[in-house]
Amino acid sequence: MADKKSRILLWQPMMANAFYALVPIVIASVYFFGWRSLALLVIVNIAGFLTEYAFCRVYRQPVSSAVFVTNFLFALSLPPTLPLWMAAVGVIFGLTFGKMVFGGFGRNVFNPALVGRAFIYVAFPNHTNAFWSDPFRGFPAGFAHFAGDAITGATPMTILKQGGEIPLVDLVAGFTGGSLGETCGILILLGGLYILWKKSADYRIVISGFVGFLLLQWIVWATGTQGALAPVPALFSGSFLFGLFFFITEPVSASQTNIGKWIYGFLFGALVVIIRTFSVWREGTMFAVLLANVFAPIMDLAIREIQAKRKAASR
Amino acid sequence: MKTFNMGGVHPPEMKEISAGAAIERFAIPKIVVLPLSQHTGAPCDPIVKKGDLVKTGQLIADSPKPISAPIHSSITGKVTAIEHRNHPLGPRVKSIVIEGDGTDEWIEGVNPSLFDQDAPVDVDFSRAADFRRKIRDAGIVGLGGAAFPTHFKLSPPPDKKIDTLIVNGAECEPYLTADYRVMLERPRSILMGTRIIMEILGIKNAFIAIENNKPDAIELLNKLCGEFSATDAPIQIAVCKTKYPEGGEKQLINAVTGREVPSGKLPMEVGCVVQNVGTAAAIYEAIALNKPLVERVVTVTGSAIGKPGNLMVRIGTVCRDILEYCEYQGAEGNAVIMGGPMMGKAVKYLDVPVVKGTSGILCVAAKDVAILDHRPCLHCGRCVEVCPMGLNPTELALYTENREYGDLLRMGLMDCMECGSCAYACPARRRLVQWIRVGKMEVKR
Repeated sequence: MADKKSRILLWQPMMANAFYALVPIVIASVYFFGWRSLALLVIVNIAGFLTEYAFCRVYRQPVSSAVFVTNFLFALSLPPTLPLWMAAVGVIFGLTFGKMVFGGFGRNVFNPALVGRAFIYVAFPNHTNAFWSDPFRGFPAGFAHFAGDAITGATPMTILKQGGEIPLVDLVAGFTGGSLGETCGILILLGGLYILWKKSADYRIVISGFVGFLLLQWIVWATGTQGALAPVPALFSGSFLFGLFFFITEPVSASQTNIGKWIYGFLFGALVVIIRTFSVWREGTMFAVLLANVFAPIMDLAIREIQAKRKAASR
Repeated sequence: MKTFNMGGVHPPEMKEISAGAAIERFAIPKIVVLPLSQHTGAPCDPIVKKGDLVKTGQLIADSPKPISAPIHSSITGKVTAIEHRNHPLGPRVKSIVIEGDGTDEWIEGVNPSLFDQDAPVDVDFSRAADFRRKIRDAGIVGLGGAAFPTHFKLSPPPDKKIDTLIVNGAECEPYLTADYRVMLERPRSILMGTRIIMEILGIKNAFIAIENNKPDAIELLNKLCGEFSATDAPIQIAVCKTKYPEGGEKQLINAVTGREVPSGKLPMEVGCVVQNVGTAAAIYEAIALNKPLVERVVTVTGSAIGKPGNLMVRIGTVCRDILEYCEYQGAEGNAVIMGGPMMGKAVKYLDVPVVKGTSGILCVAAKDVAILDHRPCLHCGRCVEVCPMGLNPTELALYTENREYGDLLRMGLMDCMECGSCAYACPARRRLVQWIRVGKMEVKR
């Protein structure tokens, strides 16, 4: 049968898988941080959809359902205490300048969610960097609250970097401060494996990302570099896992060739470690993804040229 | 288990629809349409004229060009027209139309009562010098689909040393079961044909490559292999993994021998010759029974077919006659495809004839036909992953779409064999192979 045609929305099956994988993470974010996470998500979705709709109307094209994946990912990368209007500003900026100006879905050079995230990160540093909230524990935890108390500067990255200790179980299960979707390592792994299984994410990127991250993290840790974490806690703290499964694998901005994907994933993993360890920022995932995005097209180009040369030589 | 080294997809096989049906002889048609171009290479010139009476198996068209194959009348009757008619593979082609008189009178030296048996007479190998000419005169072409003239494939230039023959029984196209049935019902003919080819090329090494989804064919041929092999030139069975396009010529060579045919070159470059199993059987019949290529096995299948099967059909039989017999439920929106679902071509008119390269007629009911909207490319690289030739299909398609033909050749456009794996794998349903075909046409211009 011919696909259902809608003037407003274009359904993207491949993106739908990413969406299913995110649902448990959304529920977890409510559990940890209260109903405010859902409020953020709703605001971001409305603002994001309207932004894309405004552009698509001009060209009389339907809105791609991929926008909701971008919205979800953007919302889940926000700190729980962020003012709602800032979230809206972020997603509007990200979609406009990260996606629509490049020609819409399928043409973006950067991950639009992270373009928005980077924008509010530098535009509102206080709110995006300094205020976090401690997660709820037990039951009903966040389901009974709207928001947790805002505290200052206490993500696991900060604590661990300053020499503090957090039990590994808390890191893996998600009882730590941080952005809405990045804390619960277990659910991210499950969701990630789901999209790998469904082939929405490419295994080459994920594997090489893991390898790049663990290898470099191990090197900086073993050499005793100041501020370097042990590989395993580093894996589960901060947003590396979330970025690895959901941001760097986003196909449009990723490398396209098989060899390119291996390099691309490795580059991402390594960049995360470098930024985390040597820069002034505590977290490196966001900038690592954007930097890797920069190199994806040129890697594809180089690989194509090399293959064409080799082919010409074999003739 | 053997398989090729790059790419490939696993479409649903759908062979169970027709796999169980034994080859059945389709009634002699009242009318046949024989296009003068049924093969790769130069078209033939007619040597009969309107009003001539012809017998079954009589030569009616030929060409002096080396890459060509003569055409024989497939029924007994009168030539009623020589004119342009619809062709299953594209534009209209000059064709000879013959109206039958109801009898089936063969040319001299042919005994049609032997045709329904498997290898009824022995081959006289002392006359091997004649084999190549006999194959040409019988009009034999590759029956796998490409219809390349067989005698030319068996005449490598003297500087190319051929050491391996691969008889292709992979039949990787979904739905099709013609080769499978030939392997089950004419195994001795196939093995005899294989020996004839080995004799012509003077080689000691032959493989019959079969995908592992046909275990009974593998077992049967394995059992008969020894009986038909010469003592110093064994015929072996190569079991291949079921993966599309395992039966592609270059893929099969890679799977069986590990060799890689260089870009833009023919299999003889790496010392291989590939022939379809049906072709091998036809070669046997041409040499032992003097039978020209006037009929072939065609799989008729699909969800719009009431009586699917494998039919022995005279070349030139009009598609509509066959579909009527197989209880085709015609309806608006159905797709009738000559060949398999991956590489076959949908036809608009049902008056197209079966040609030498027609391995199947696939009729898909409208409810199963998916005309999907294509969407923006996600750059996911799925097409790159599955391309058996190691190309970047989305880039080739995109360059064609934007009329940037300059770089296409350098990117390996001509290496594409149009297997369709890319379009099959694309999650955005982009018409990749279709655009690449357009690109090829534009570049040739």
